[in-house]
Amino acid sequence: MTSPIRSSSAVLTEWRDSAREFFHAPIDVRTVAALRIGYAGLMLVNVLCWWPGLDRWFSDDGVLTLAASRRIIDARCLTLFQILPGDPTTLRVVYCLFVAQLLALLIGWKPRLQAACCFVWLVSFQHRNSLVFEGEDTLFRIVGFLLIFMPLGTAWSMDSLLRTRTGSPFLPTAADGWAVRLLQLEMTMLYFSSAWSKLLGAPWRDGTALYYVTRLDEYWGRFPIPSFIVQTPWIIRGLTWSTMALEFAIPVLIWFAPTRRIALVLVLVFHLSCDYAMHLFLFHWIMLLGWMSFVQPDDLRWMQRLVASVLRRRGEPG
Amino acid sequence: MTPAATDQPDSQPSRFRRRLVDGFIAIVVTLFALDTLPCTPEPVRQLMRPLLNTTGLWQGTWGLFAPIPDSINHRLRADMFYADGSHRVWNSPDWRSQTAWQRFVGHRESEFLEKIAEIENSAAWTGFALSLVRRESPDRPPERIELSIRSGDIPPPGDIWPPTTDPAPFDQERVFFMLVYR
Repeated sequence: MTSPIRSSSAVLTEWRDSAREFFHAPIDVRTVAALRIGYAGLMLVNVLCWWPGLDRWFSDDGVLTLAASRRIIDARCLTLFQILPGDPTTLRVVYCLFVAQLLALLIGWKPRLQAACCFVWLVSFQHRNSLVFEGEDTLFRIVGFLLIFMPLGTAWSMDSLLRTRTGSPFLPTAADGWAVRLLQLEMTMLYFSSAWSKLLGAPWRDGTALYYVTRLDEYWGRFPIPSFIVQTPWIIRGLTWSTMALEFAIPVLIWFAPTRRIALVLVLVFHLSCDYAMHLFLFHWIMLLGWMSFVQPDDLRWMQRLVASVLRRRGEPG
Repeated sequence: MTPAATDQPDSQPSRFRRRLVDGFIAIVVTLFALDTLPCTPEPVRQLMRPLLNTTGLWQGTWGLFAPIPDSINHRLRADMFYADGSHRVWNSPDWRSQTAWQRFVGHRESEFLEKIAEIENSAAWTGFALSLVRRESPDRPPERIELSIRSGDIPPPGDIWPPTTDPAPFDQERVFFMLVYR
């Protein structure tokens, strides 16, 4: 008979080994490359939109001096602007450097170094004027942080091209995927956190939450939506409850092989629909990028076959 | 020589490095979970805040229009009063009349205008007022500038749900800041 101490230690060892197996499972490097390219592309769009208001939002000649911004944000939130001169010229130099490093990340030239620098720049800008940033920027920051630890230059990158040219003995197609696992966990925790928060609110439980959301003119009405959808109580209630159900279901369905693809399709449809209807800048795109960490090359081939078969069926006479 | 593809990771990490990575994973997962989940007790959040804020990894609970979605639309207004008795008004953009592209590129402005009137951002009011004067009235500084917020409550849903194109009127107005030039 085994002693209780030994058996609990065996359980712990088993648990630790399972956790290691889970976190260190090899991941296809093309998934990581797609994350890198998608992130850098979205960040470039994001940062290029800052340009017209660069001085206004981030310089001491704009709406918020550094001293005032430090009174708004927690003093422990560091920014490089605390040590850099606050003049517009320095700001423009920093901005151009940030854009250049994003471009280098996009093409995959020393991508982990670029990812680390881009994270520092992004945090610095966000902590310089927190009033112009919101939830999506938080996710940009977290994804940017996790990218630092991914094998970013192994595929579809300038680095891998250079390695090929110099006759490197092998190009790995798989790598330790622990940082991708962290991103996957972040996405599931994010959805679960949002679903839980919704459950705590009476308008979500009684099905009227989207009645209010569809009447907030800051967000609603990006492209035309038939008016009956937002004026019919049972449709709004159905959509409100579906949103909550989806946010509870996806973090579970995404982890099981038989339901993973269904979850991915649901996520895609949900975010694209919301992006069509609402002005939320790049929020839905950075969310989709986060969920892309679950996509494997096989999924793309499956999707390709699915689309091809639908098109073939539509092309058939009769 | 053509490089060969392999499905093996680059190299096997040392035992020390592996333990370091495992420790890092455990810390990140714990911090992210405690920071995002709504059930985390406030003292625990306070304990984590220095580390998360310093490293730029803070998130907080992900509400996304929850638990209670906003039910107020608002606009900002600045009244500039001049020594000769004249008066000039600046109004924040009317979101409904802007195109999707204008809203996309003007996203930062809408974020700023949404937050600026909140009391916890009062440290930014003087800078905002001065920037409006520099932009709207660069040649003639006013004697006094007042910032106000106009808001309209979205009525609770009744028997008939109004169309989204029928906004609630901005029937409440409150001056939240006044700056007098000396």
